Amino acid sequence: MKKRLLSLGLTFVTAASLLTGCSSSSSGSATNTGSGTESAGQDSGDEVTFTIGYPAEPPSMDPKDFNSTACTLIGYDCYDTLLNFSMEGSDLEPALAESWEQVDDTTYVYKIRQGVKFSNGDDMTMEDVLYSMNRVTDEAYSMSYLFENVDSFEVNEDTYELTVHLKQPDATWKYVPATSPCSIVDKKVVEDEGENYGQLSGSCVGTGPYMLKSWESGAEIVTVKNPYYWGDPDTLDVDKVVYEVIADDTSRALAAQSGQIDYARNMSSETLPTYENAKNMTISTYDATDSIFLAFNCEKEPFDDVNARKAVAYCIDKKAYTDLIGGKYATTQGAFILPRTMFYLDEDAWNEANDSLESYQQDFDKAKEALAASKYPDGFEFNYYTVPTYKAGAEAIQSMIKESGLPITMNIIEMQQADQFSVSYGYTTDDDGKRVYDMLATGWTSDWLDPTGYMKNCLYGGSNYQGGANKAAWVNADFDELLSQSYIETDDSIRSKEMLEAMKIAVEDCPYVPMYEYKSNYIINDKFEYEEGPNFFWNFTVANVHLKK
Amino acid sequence: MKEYVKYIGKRIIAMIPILLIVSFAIFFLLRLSSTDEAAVIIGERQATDELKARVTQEYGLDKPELIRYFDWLKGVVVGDFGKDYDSGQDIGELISSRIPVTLGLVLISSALGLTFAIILGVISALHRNKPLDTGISLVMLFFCSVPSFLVSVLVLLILTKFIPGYSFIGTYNNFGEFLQRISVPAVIMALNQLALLGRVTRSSMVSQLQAPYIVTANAKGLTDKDITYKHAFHNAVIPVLTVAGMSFANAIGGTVLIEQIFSLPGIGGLLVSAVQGGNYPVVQILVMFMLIVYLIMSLIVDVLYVVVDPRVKLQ
Repeated sequence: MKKRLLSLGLTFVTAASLLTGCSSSSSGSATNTGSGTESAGQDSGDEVTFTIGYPAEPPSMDPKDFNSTACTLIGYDCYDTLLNFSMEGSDLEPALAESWEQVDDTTYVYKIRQGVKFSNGDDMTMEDVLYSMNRVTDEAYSMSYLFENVDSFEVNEDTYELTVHLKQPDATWKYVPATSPCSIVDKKVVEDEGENYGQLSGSCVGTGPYMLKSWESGAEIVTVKNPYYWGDPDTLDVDKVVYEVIADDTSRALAAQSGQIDYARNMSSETLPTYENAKNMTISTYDATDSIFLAFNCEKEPFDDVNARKAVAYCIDKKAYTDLIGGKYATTQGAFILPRTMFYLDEDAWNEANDSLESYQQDFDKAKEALAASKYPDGFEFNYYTVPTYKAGAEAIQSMIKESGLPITMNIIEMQQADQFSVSYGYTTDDDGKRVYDMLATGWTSDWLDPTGYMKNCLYGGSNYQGGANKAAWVNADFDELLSQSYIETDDSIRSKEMLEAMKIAVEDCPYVPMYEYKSNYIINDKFEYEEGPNFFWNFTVANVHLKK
Repeated sequence: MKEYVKYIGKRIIAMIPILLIVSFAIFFLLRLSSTDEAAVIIGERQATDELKARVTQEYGLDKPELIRYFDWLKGVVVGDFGKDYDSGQDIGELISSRIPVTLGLVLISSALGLTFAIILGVISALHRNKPLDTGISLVMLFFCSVPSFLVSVLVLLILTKFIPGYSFIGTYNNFGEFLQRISVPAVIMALNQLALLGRVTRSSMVSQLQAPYIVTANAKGLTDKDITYKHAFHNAVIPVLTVAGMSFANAIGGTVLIEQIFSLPGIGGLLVSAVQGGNYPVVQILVMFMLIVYLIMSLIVDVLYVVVDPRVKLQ
């Protein structure tokens, strides 16, 4: 008998679901309640909701784990950092630190704001500040590399001063307090919860304008205004932020088109037309710090030979590659792998160098000369590693090399998606312990506008290790000397000259082939006013999203 | 009643070795590839040797694989499913809210598909070679051959275009909202099953209606209703159930794509990204979960055999 009841029950459930499905569809949004079905742009009463649609969710709500755009979009607003980047990206502005000063080459003093409370009502003390800073410095977290120059932190409970002692002068330290690891957490809560802090089962307590209300993994994260926010609550137009996880590109575009989300970003070329058709939504772009380039593995044959690298570089038609792969917002690079936004220290000089230095445009004659001058005048063979998603680009390069008629053979090795970080960061090695690939398409996004954001990671010899981002495995003593010199220098104009000199060496030695840089794009509901800057990754906050007057 | 309990109990005990074998296979098959698990956990960022060592130690990656397998198995038995490589979240936490969605989709679509398949298949068989039969067969052929993800995208396009309030994002707060979110994808999945099962029902029913015993029954003066439902149907439904068992298994796999398209917070999206990203602990747990659902579904089908056909005995 029970089984009959069970099947009857099932039939009932299905019938009911059909009915509710139909009725809610036909009656429209008026009957829809609750966060999930609340249509973006339609606010219950005076409450203003801002709905973000993004394909992934943050790994956690703990600032130590903030390493992706998902964290930027929903996590950062629960916390404050010591400083903020200015909107155009090159300057710093006060946040939890009211003011700051560089006392000498290796000492920085930050005056911390008094009377700040966490979203649970606790006072933010200097102990919390010290704890938060030490936590990300001592432990090997994802962003700990930012703190490798820190010797110690010191706080003064009476004067509310945080003193940072560096091991050696570091011209880029000034930017670090504006990055997410310098978010202040509540020591008591974090210590109580231990590993659970910021996880689905734990809490999230910060001093930011918004605080976590609910998190339904894979579906939705909701934040609301923090009642204890130290800033002026009247400047916050948005009462509630709803972050919807919509993994499928097409579905996300349809959600924007049907007005279910107010904001989306990084739209793919395939779905862009759907977004463009969305009513009451506007697409904007801004110059970011992203670029795409090809890396030669300079530590093994055949690309340990500079002329072999040049022979391949001269075969590649960058413009054609950009048109094929880059999409609507891509611009072909010049001589540098750095995007042009990062030339701000001395725009004229950097632009001039970027345009006039050798940029290895397609030229089969020069390729032939380079090959003849190389160790392999009779040609060579190399392995180009790619994930299936980017195979079209690899095939394009393959056919360009074939077109040159030179005796160079490029083999495409398809790696699994799961192996891409292992290969590109050098964990996967050949029998000699060297990076396994000969060539790789890769890219980079800088932590800040300062050119060091590329040079230190992608070109510096010290970043050539397993796990390092020097994917060309390129080590040049002169380059390293100049870059290290620029770190000790505090005068930006001298630093700029030193870095430019270093870049010239890098261009001449051709460890990478610059391909294209691309603008970031986002779409936002017209009822909101908002502008994004190049430091979106650290700067995004819904506090800057205002209702149009 | 008692023999049912005994039978089901026996079947459940028989599942344990299957689960153990599959868990062993999945654990080691995943690790046959050369993917560096520590690199997957570190992900796309610069890492020092210190960080890699910390990750290796924290996740026990340096232990021999057989020991890791038993550690994992021990954890699963006591409800500790391990940590997600991607986010570091507890996998139990991660999937507990997602299971009802996937389970709801599978159950509703299977029940719906089977019920309507039998009804339409029988109607079709009774009107064999008449316009109604041709009509039903054509529609079924259509849904059988069009992949359900394509139907999903089309339906989504139509719904968002013509029904302004239709929402397919976010979470649900109560049972009504839950049903509203999963009803459309469940119906689409049911259509796919219905097409297959309906065609089987029809042909099985047709062959029964032509069998000699039907002639005998007619000769003895039984009513059409009795002949159709008491005799022909009982015999015709058995192959349908067999196919239904397999079709349910497909439904579990089918949720993966449909959940992505309707952005349902089920396990499908999680599985796709876990497989692509080499997130082994999540793949292991989800495969085990799907296997359990499959085993239970086939148990239900086996019990249904007994209910519909008195000649089949519980053994």
